[in-house]
Amino acid sequence: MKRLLQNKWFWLIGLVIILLTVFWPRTAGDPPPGQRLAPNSSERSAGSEMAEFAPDGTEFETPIDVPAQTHENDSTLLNEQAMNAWYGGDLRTAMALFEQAIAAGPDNPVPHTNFGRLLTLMVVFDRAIPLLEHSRDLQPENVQAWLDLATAYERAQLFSKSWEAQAEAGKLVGASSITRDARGRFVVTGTTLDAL
Amino acid sequence: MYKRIFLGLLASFLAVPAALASSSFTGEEDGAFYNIVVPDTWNGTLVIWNHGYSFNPMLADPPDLGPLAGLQLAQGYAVAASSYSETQWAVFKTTQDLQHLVNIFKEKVGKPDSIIITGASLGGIVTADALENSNLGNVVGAFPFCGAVAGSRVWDGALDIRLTYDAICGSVPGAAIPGGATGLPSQFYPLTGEGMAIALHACTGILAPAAFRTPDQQLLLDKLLASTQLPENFIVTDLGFAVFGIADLIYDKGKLHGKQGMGNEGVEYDDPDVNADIERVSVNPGAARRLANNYRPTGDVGDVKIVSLHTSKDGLIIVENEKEYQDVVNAENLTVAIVAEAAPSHCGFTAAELTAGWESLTGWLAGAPQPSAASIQGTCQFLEGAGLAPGPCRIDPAFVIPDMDGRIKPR
Repeated sequence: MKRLLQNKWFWLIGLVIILLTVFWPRTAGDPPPGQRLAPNSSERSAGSEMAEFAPDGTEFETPIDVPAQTHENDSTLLNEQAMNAWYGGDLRTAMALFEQAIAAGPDNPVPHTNFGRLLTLMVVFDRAIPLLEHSRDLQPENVQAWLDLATAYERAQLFSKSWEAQAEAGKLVGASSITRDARGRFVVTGTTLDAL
Repeated sequence: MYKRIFLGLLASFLAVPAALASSSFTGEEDGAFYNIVVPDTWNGTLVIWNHGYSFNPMLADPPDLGPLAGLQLAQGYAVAASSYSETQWAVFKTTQDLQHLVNIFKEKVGKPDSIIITGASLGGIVTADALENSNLGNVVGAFPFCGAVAGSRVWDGALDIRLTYDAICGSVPGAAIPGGATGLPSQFYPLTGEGMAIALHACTGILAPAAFRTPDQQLLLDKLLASTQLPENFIVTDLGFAVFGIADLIYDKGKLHGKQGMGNEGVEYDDPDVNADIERVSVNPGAARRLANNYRPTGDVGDVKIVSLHTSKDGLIIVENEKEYQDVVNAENLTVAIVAEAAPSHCGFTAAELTAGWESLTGWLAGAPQPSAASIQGTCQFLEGAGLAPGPCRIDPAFVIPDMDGRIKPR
């Protein structure tokens, strides 16, 4: 043992291993330090709360463990983690992660929508509405994007704007298909914003 | 009746491009911003719009003219609004704000033949106060909707929510909100809306779907909802008023100047645990008088004709406000119509419902019989059926408005 410790090759190889461990390039699929790895699709199908939500309230079919190294996927992963933190009860972390997800994917409507919905529930309409408006701008054919806005506008007492948003949603899906969920939010009949 | 409405509205919609030819006046006077629009074909009547509760000052934009302004301008009415010189429970100064607004209108446009006052939410009590106290001139009609027309009594309800929250959630880690009966420890205490919501969530899990709440959170949420009789989707909103609204009301030097205007001594709360644990607060009689003066309606509305709409499950300004108003205003002056909604909202009217209320008021002012809830529903259905305004129409003429004592204990 004493001889091994005196061998310079032992120390050199050890140093290389340490350097490789620390500085090996990270992929976008790796979790940031200190954050929990998003579950894979089998975990999700087993009922994990890590599901990602599209603006229409349905669960995304896209696999979470996307290996690509783009900012968009960073945004998607951060949104996943934000949703996990939200539903896990850690709202401050959720809000920080949503902000990171939006910064990583300014054209990704999903974190804009989800953060806008959380802020609407928190009654922070001055922050929720710009996010939901941006989400609507990114996907003007998405009915729920209009309805999320209609909800936030109404709660902020911007009644005319709420009616306009409801009318736009009605053009896409038919006015008779629009209803409110138990939380008073506008939704398309038969859909939910609280999918597990 | 419907023929008159149809022809009137048809003419209004056809006249929309012409109505765009109008004069606008915006500016600031005595701490309040104003916005006045006068169509070239002005019919001589001024409509005043009173906006709802605002936690923040309205700084840059001219004040909004309300959801029916487009229609009203097309019908030839001038429309004007004030941002109010105060935020939050602005009623302490709104009579002066509206007097300034009308004086500016007289300077820039001329004296209106008549005035109709409209408003939503807080704008409802601003409207009721103005009818009784502001001496604006020839006020002939009023159209409040989802209005806090019970007036200052709503703050008894806010105090109950604030102290009930403390009794149920005060000892839950992360849920305590300091300040108790004064809302917060000071007017500018550094708690944000997000921070308050996070505290409430720590106790109840309210911001997550039910499946993600712990059993303890669900238990406490159920207790909080049962004790306050509030719908789940409004507890964050209502606690916000109870925390930030009470703090502003009590600490603002122009309002209660540090005095406790609401108390709960002797109140019997339905939940025995809450009744035993809740903080008991004495009211300062002078502050209570000042609060009632700003404002609790007396019903002294003269000949003014009033149509008031409310939704049945309003989670912020509860429908019982209309019963309080009915109790003080003569029935021949006031028609109340309640929209029966499936899920709680605040001011969740359809365009057809609000337009029907407006058309019913103007028809009444023009000499038609006093409208009823049933006739307003009929007007709404006509508007929807003719494609003049999107529905649905949900006014329930048989709706019985509960007494406010059932939800806000008398004291």
